[in-house]
Amino acid sequence: MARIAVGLALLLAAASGLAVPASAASGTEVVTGLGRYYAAPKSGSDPVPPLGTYVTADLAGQAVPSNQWYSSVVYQRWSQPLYTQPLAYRATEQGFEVSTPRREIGSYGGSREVRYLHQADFTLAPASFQPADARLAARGDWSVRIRMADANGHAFDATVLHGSPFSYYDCNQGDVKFKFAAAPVSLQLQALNGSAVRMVTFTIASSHYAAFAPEGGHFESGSDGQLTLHLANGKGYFSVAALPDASAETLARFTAAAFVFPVDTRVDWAFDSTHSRVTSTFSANTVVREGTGSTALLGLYPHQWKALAAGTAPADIGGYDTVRGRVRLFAGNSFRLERTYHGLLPHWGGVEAPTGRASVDSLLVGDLAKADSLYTKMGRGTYWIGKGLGATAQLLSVAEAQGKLQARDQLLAALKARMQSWFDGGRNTYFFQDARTGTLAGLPQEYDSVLHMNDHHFHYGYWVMAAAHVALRDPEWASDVQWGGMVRRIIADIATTERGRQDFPFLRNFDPYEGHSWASGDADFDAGNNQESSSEAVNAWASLILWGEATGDRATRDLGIFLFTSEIASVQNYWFDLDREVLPAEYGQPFASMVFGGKYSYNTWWTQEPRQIMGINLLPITTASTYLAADPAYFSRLADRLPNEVKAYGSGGGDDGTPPDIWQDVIASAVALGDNAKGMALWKRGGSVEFGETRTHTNHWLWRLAEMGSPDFSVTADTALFAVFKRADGQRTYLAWNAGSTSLTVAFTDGHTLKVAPGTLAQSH
Amino acid sequence: MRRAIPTHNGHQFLKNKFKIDIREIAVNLKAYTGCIALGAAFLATPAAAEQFGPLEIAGFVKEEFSRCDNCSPTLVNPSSFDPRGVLTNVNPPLNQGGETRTTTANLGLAMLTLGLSHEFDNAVKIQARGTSRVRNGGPDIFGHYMIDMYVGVSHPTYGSLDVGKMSTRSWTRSDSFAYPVGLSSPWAESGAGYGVVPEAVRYATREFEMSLGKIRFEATLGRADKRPPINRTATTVAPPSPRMTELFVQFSNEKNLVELIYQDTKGGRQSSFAKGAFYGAQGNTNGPAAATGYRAPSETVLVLQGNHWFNPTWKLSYGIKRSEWSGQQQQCDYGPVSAFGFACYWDQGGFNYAVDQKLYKATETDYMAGVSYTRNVWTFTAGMVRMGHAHTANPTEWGQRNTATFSNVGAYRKLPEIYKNLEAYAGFGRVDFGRQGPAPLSMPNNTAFFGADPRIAKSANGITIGANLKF
Repeated sequence: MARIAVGLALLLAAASGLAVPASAASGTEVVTGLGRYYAAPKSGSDPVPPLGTYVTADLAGQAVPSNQWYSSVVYQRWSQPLYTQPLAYRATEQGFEVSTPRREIGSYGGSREVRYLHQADFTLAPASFQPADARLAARGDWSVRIRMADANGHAFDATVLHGSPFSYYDCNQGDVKFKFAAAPVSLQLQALNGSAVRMVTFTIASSHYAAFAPEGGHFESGSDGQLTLHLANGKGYFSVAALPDASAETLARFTAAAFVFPVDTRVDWAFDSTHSRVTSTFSANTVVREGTGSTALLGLYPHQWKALAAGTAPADIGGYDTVRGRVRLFAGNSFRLERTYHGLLPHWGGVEAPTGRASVDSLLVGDLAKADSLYTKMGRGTYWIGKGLGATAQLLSVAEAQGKLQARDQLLAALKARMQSWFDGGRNTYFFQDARTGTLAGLPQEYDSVLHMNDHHFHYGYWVMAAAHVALRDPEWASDVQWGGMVRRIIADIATTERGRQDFPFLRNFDPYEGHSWASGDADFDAGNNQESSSEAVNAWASLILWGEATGDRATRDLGIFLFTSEIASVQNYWFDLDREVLPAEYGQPFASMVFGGKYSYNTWWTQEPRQIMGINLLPITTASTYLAADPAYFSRLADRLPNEVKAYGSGGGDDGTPPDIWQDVIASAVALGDNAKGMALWKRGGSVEFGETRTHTNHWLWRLAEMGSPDFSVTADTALFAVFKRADGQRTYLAWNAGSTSLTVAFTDGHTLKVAPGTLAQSH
Repeated sequence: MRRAIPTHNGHQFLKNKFKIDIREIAVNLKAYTGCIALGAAFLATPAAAEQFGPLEIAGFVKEEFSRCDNCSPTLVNPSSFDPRGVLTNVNPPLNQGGETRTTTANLGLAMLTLGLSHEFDNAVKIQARGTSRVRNGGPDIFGHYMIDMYVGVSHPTYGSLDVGKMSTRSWTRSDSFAYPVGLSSPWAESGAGYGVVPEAVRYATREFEMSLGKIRFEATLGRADKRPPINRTATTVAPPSPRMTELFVQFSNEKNLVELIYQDTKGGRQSSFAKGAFYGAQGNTNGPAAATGYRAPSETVLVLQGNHWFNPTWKLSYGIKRSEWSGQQQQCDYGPVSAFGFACYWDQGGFNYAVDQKLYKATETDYMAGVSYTRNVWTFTAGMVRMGHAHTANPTEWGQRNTATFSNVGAYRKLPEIYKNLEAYAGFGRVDFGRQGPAPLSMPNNTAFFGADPRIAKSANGITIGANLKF
C-alpha cells in the first residue's frame, strides 16, 4: 500500500509539473534579446485566438481589430448591435438595422441598469440581391465601413462612426428598401434642391429621421407602408440621419451635410511637457458626393465637449440624449481636445513620521516573506501572475522609498525572475505571436484572454508596470539585448500606434472617440462591448508612461499620457459621473461599475457583493490612482453607503463566500486620497488583504497621504514624473522623479522648483 | 469583458473561471473544508465564520428527518462474537430483531469551532483552535466531544506546524468532497482509517507553484494511549503503542482540486468506521491457543479524490479509496464484575479473523462519483458510492463477498428570506446490496449509513429532509 501511495503522490506531483520538466517547444521560436516567443502554442490542445473571418480582401492581411465597439462584425456572419451614439446599428440577414436607442431603467438579474439598447426602428436592405454576410471593409480610428455583399460582387456598404447623427451608404446594384419596424409617423416625401422626391422625413416613436437620395434617385412609398429608394446607375450613394428635432431649420442644416461622406477618421495626439498638456485632434477625412456642402455634422460626447480646445465649442445646433448623456452636434470635420496631465511617480518617498516609518518597516518584513505567495493567490495565467507582478512592483517601490535597499533588491530580483520565467519561453507559461490574427497571447489564458481575446490591456498593464519598475532601476534589463524586446511586444499588443499592421491592430482596446477601452475581444453582446475595471485600464496606460520614461521612449510615454488622460476623463464621466449628468436619478446607484456600448450596470462579472462592485473600479492602488481624488469626498460618500449595502446584499440572500471586509484595504486607500484621516481609520491592519495588494503598501500609502495631504490638481510641472499634494493647512509637497541620466530641474506652475538627481525622487515643501 | 457573465443575457454563457475560484472558496467553506484559492486548505474553516478580531467563531446546527421503506428499526448490537454486528445470522432477539419495515429517524448535529489567531508583522502566525461536535445530544464521535484542540504556528516560507488533538484528513477531506453530493457518511465514514487522533504533530509545507497548478504537502504523526486490559494478568502480548502516519498532498488549479491521502496506523483497534477516534489495541489477552499468530493490528487507507469544475454551475466530484486491514483477533478483557468474580468483556472488537482463530488480511476498493448543479439559491446533486468486494483468504464470510451501492439525488435551497446562512434540503436515497448477507467490509456494521440490513434486505429507499444553519 505504501508503494501505491508513493506512486500516486509522484503521479500527482508529476501532473502538477514537480517531477516533469516542461514539454519541449514544438512551435517556431522567435528570439528577441534573451527572450523567446513562439509562432503558435506549444501544445495543440492550447487555445488559439479566434479568426476574424468577416473582413473584405482589403483588410485580409491586417491584424484583426479585436476589442473594439464594432469587433463583432469581424467575428460573426451578422454583427451584434453597434453603438455609435446617438445611433445604433446592426447588420442582419434582413438588412442593416438602424435605431435611436431609448432609455429603460430597471433591475435585471438583481442588478440595476440603465439601458439604451438597440431595437431596430427600420432596416435598410438592397432590393435586388441578398447579401451573404456582413464584413468589415474599412476602419478608421472611430469609423467603420461594413460591406454586405453577395457572391456576384453586388455590395451594399454602410459607413457608421461614433458621434455622428448620419450613416452613409453605397449600393452598387439596384434599389434599396426601407423596412419599418412600426408604421412611421408623419412620413413625408419631399423634393430636394427642387428636383425629384429625394428626401424623406419620418418619425418612429419619438425619434426623427431623414434620408437623402442622390441625384437621379427618388423615394417611393409603397402600399405596404414601406419605402423604396430608387437609385440611378452609378449613383448608388445616400445617407440617413437622426434629427435632434423636426424643425425646418434643423432639416436644412442636415440637408447641407447629407452628402459630405466621411471616408476615414483619425485621431492624433501630442504631449506638451512644458505645460503638462495633452492635445488630441479628431479629424474626419470627407468626400463630397454632391452639392456644395463640405462640412460634416459630428456629435460630441460629454467628455469631449467639456475638453474642447478654446474657440471650438460646439455650435448650438441641438443634440441627443444618449446613454453617454448629452451628445452635442458639432459642425466641422475636425476638433481638438485639451487636457491637463496631473503627473505620475514610481513612488511617493518614504514615510517621515517615526511612528509611521516603524510601522511600515515592520510590515515589510512579513510581506517580504510572503512575496512568493503573491503569485499563488488564484490562477497562474497572465492575469493573476500579472497581479502578483504588480503587487511586487509596488512593494519594492515602498521598500526603496523606505530606504530598505536590501529588501528592494530582493524583490527586484524576484520580479525579474518571474517575468523571465515567462519571457524565456522554456516552460509552459509563455507568450506566442499569432500571425493569423495579429496578437501576442500569453498562456495559460485567463478569462478567455486567448479564446475570446478578452482583457489584454488589463493583464498586460500589470506586466508592463512591473517591467517599468525594473527598467527604472536596471536599464540594462530593459534593453533590447536582454528583455526589453519582450516587453515592447507586450506593449505593441495593446498599444500599437501604426495603422494597418499585420502583427498588431491600432490601439487594440482603446476607443479614441469614447475615450476609454473595451475589454471583450469579440464584443459578442447585445448591449455592445463593455469594460468593467476602468482602474485596471488606467493602470495599463500609466504603465506606458513609466516604461517610456524609464527607457527614454518618448513616443510610448506620450501615447501613455494620451491614453491615461483620456481614460480618466471617460471614467470620471461615465463610470463615476462626477458631474451628475449621465446617470439618471431613477437608476438609484451612484456609479456604474460596468459600462457597455448601450447600458450601465451596477454589478461585476462574478458577484453582486457591493464592496467588490466598488473596488473593481479602484484597484490596483498605485501612484496612478490619484485621479480618484478628483472629487475628494466622492469615495468617502460611497464608503459610508457600504455597510447598508452589504447588509441589504446579505439579507437578500447574497453570499459569495468572501470575507465580510473584502478589499477593505483598497477602499480605505481610495477614501484616503480625499480624506486622509478617514481612510486611515477605515483600514484594519489585520483585516483582509486584496490579492494584488500588500499591507506594507497600504500602510505606506495611508501614512504618506496623512503627511502630504490630498493630490493637488491645480499645480503641474514641466516633466512627466511628478506629483503635488496639499494638506489642509495649505502646505504643499512637491515630488518629481528623474528617469534620465543627468540632473533635472523641475519647474512647477506655481513657481516652485525642484532639483532632481538622476534615477532618484526629490521632494520638498 | 471579463470574468463571468450576468445571468440576464440569455445568449451569453460563462466564459471564465474567476467565479469558479470564488465559488470554490464559498463551497469549501460551507462544506467544512479548506479553500484552495486562499491557500488555507490546511486550516479548515467551517461554514460562514464570523471574525471578532483575533477570535473566529464558526459552526453549524443541523436538524434532519429521514424515512426508509425497508430498514431495521435500531442499530445492530454487536455480539460478543461479532463486534461489527455483521457476522451473526439474523436471530431475534440477539440482534436487531430480524425485521425490516418503514422506519423514521431524527438527526441533530451541531458543531462549534472557536479559533484564535494572530499574525505578527513578520508574517509569523500563531493560532489555537478547538472544535466540538455533538450528535443527538452526545458526542458525534464516541468519547470525544472535542475533535480538534491544537495550537500552531505558521510562516509563509517555512510552512505550518500544529500540535494537539486533531481530526484527520482521511475523514474531513473525504467529507468535503462527499457532503455536497449527499454521500458524506458512506464515503467519509467508511473503510480503514480513523477520524480523530488524540495527540499529533502536523507539518504542512507552503504551497509550491508548478507548471500545471499549485501543490502542497503535509505530514501528520500521531499517537494514542496504550490500552492495557483491566485484568493485566491475562496479558500474553503487551498492548502495542498506537502510531499513526498520515500524508496528504493537495493539488489545485483553475478547474481541479485533487487530493491524495495516505493514512497508515499500527497498534490501533481495528474497525471500518473511518470517523472514529484512533484508539489503542489492548494486546493479546487470549493466549496463543485462542489467538493463533497474534500480531498487533494495523490498517491503511489510501484515498485519491477530487473535484472538477466544468464551469461555475457544474461540478464533478470523484474518489477512489483503497482500504487494507491486517485483521485483528477479538480480545477478551477479563474485567471485574464484582468483588469476587471476573467476566470476559469483548472490549476489543476483532476484524476479519476466522473460525480457525487465524487472522486474515483484507483489502477493499471503493469508489465515489457525483455531480452538482448550482443556480442561484438552488443546488441539485446526484451521486453514488460503490463499495466493492473485499479481497481476503478468510474462509469466514464477514461481508467480503458483498457489495453496496449508495445513491442519492438531492436538492438544496438557501433560505435568505429567513436567514442568509440557512439552507433547507431534501434528498432521495437508495442502497443496493450485491447479495443477501453481511455488509461489505468497508461498512462499520450491517445497518450503517442507511439503516438497511443486507442480511434481510437487498435494497432500500429513503427520503431525507433537513435544515442546516451555518454561522
